Amino acid sequence: MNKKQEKQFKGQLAQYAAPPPDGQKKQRAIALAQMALKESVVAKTPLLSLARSQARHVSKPLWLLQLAAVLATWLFSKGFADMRQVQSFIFIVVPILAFYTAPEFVKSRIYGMGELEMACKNSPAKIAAVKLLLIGTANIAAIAAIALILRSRYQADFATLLAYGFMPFNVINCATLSAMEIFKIKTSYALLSVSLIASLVFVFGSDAAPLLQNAVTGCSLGSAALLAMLLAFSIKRTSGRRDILIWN
Amino acid sequence: MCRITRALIKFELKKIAQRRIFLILLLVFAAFAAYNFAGVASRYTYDSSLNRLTGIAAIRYDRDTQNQYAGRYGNAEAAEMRERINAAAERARSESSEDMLIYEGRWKYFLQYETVSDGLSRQNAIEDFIIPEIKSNGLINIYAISGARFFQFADNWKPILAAGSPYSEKLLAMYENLELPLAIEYNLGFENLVKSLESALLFPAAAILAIALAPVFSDEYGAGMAPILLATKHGKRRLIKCKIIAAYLFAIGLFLLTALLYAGFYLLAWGASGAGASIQTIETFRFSPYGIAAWQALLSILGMGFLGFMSIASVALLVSAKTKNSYNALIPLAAIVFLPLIDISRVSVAIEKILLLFPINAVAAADMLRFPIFYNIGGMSLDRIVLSAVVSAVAAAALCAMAYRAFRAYQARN
Amino acid sequence: MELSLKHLTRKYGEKIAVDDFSAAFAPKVYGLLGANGAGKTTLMRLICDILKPTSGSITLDGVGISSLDESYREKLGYDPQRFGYYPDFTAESYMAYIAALKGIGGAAARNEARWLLEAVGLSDAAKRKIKTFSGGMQKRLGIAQAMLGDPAILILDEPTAGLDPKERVHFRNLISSFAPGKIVILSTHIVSDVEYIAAEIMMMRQGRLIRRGDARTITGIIADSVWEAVVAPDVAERASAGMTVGNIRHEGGAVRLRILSDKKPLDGAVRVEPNLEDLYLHYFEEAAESCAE
Repeated sequence: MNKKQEKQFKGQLAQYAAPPPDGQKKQRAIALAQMALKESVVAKTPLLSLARSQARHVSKPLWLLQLAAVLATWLFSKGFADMRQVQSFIFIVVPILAFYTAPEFVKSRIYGMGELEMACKNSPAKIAAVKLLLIGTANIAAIAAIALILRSRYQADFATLLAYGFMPFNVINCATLSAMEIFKIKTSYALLSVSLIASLVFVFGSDAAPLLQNAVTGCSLGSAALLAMLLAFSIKRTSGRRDILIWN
Repeated sequence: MCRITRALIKFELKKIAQRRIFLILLLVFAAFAAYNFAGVASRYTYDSSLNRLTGIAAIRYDRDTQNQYAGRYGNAEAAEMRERINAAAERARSESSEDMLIYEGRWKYFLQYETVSDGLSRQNAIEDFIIPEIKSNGLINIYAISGARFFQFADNWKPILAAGSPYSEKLLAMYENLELPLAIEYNLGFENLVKSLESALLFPAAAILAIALAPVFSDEYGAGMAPILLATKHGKRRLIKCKIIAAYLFAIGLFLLTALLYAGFYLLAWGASGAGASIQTIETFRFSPYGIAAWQALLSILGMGFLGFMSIASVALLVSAKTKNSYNALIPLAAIVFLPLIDISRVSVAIEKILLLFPINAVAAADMLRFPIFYNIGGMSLDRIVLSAVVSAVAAAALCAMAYRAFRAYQARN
Repeated sequence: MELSLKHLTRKYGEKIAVDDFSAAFAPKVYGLLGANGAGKTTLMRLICDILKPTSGSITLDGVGISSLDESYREKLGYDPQRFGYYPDFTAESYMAYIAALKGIGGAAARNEARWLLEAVGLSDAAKRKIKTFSGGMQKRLGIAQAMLGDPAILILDEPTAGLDPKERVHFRNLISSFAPGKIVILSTHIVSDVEYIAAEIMMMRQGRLIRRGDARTITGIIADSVWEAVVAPDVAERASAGMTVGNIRHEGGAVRLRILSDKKPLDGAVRVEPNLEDLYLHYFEEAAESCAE
């Protein structure tokens, strides 16, 4: 049904003046509904449905930054003289899409939504996992797109370009999650600041990117493992928290 | 200054420093400085008896050995020195063993001449390469190897850099007017100081400044304090002035800490050797057409860096006064402060020239000395250094005034 | 001292938050009653000069408050609905900060802050960070900071929200002792708060001042419209659906209803003395109904 049909339908319904309900019949209807509810099987929320609803609530800046990073690559990655400049470029552009990721992922903890989420149908761990899937997929897709663009222009090894892309991404997110778990940084501003600092380390240190040539795959895998551990730790802490909020 | 004003300034500084993120920022600053300074410990050299020296001893030995030949070399002296250098180089090559890790010859015979050899090469380069190159091919090749940050996208600059263009002619005149012979002196300390200071001011100092000042006004909105503050006696005037003063004091303090720490360290480690050297003898400025000494270059970098810092502080205050919480303030602030570092001369040289006047590029002041850029303003050709200084000073004042008005005009709504 | 509001209007686009509001305030405690969205907070912000009116004027002893500037704000104490604070400040340092903003320095600020923290029951928590405070403690701190400097005009926007009954009694006594010679305007949904301490009550609806007067005078409007009846539960249920019921209380097998009605609503209903809550319901139930329509 489209909006016009819906409006027409509502208009037609509104023309019917409903008589006031009989008190006894109303009570009976409520009792029957309660019985029906008790007997019904509690359905699990389908993953796709949950993902769609979570995707609607991921901040727009996150999606825009992924797009901006890919667009920046398309526009500004022409005319590099050698692979060193390509490598340096990756260290500048990937932080653009990375710096908002961890703060977005831990948004509900920062804004005190944890208590509410714990009282809802889907567990915080499930919601965190779905968010991770969504945001992670977008990030991986963006980094892969960046790597593809660079590969098409410079005939570089795709796996190496991916490794160069994932290294700053993993390290920036590790830094942000570590700040939250180890330094107990709780405010959104402070987390974003940590993320910004970590991003700028890579931007300003981009000249050092070529130096990692022989170690980039190892660094990338190592940082990915560390990130996975931190994420698991973070999700576990969110699920198991008893003292999640001071009551004010 | 009255007691209340002092108290309010103290409170505002306390608010800046009290945040937990400030501790992390200090740690980053310290880590960065340690990383920069660690290079000193790893320095090594060999004396003429091939005894290995490390750290400060190595620096002192290199400096004292090479400063034997500090000075200015006219044509005759230069010719004589080149003969000695060539002879030393020849002897160094002939007496070196197969073990190239040590390269004994260099340490025994050639090290003492390294500074004067580089200095004379650059002196020659001005007369024998740069000036003729500009006359015949313009600046494009010099531009490409100058080390100026935008050299990668030389293509778009070609018309500007072509032989005979007003720009080329201006630079040719500058090179021809350089005081020769160059003043040669051991200057590795100054070179390291300039590079480290510039990078430290860009990051982490500028980042710390932006992060620390973004909440000055925006946090008052976010915390719900703005209605309370603005309803108090001093809330609409004195408090705002005190906030701005505190912000500037913080910026000045951070700048001084960075400058003194780095200058202090490198001067302690390397001494003041090289202060009087022509900047063309410093690797990073080898193509500079400015006829100034290293100490003058350092002062220019510090002066421009300071102005850049003040204007970053003003930008931060304005963005802070205009955004409803510090989280929302940080992203546009980071973009305004750091994005102008990206070279977009590939897209448009005109826009790139405008971006070069943004505060962060004033902080990267050493870049201005590497290769000049001129702006045609009302028929006048202004050097980027001059224009940057004026723009930074005016921006600092204007944006600060705008921030003041923005917070004062805040209307408490839901 | 007279604070005068003349034809004060504040619009947000098409929405009128305060609509041609005129009133004069002399030293007294005023209770501002109104439903959510009635315009109370907007009115208070206008009085505090942190919001500019779309039209109209506010004067203190005949002089516009904007032109008085600091000399007006010197006399002002404001506790907003949403109390703002710096989480890492202690109560003591927060009070010192506000004192400095109010132009009170040194020992005078310290002494007054100490006295006020004691008066609101926060002296034991003076050195604790505000982020560790409960909601009620934060509210009390908000009241304390508003009273710093002994302001001649005290504006309190829902000061008792989140306070337990004991704290509310304490607050009422504090205001009563503070109020002589001062203009105190407090807005609230909790009618009992104003019933006991407000010398004058002002009712706002949809941005307009609809009634003002002392409690007795304004409740006199509905003197013949408040009834009580004891009925069977099914009758009570029917009555609740069709009438304005102020209170329902179960007494054994029967239900005691308090009903607002111009004529006798049920057999056996008797007229009773109206209170402010009845008046509130009388005005704001209508508003709710008209919104629903």
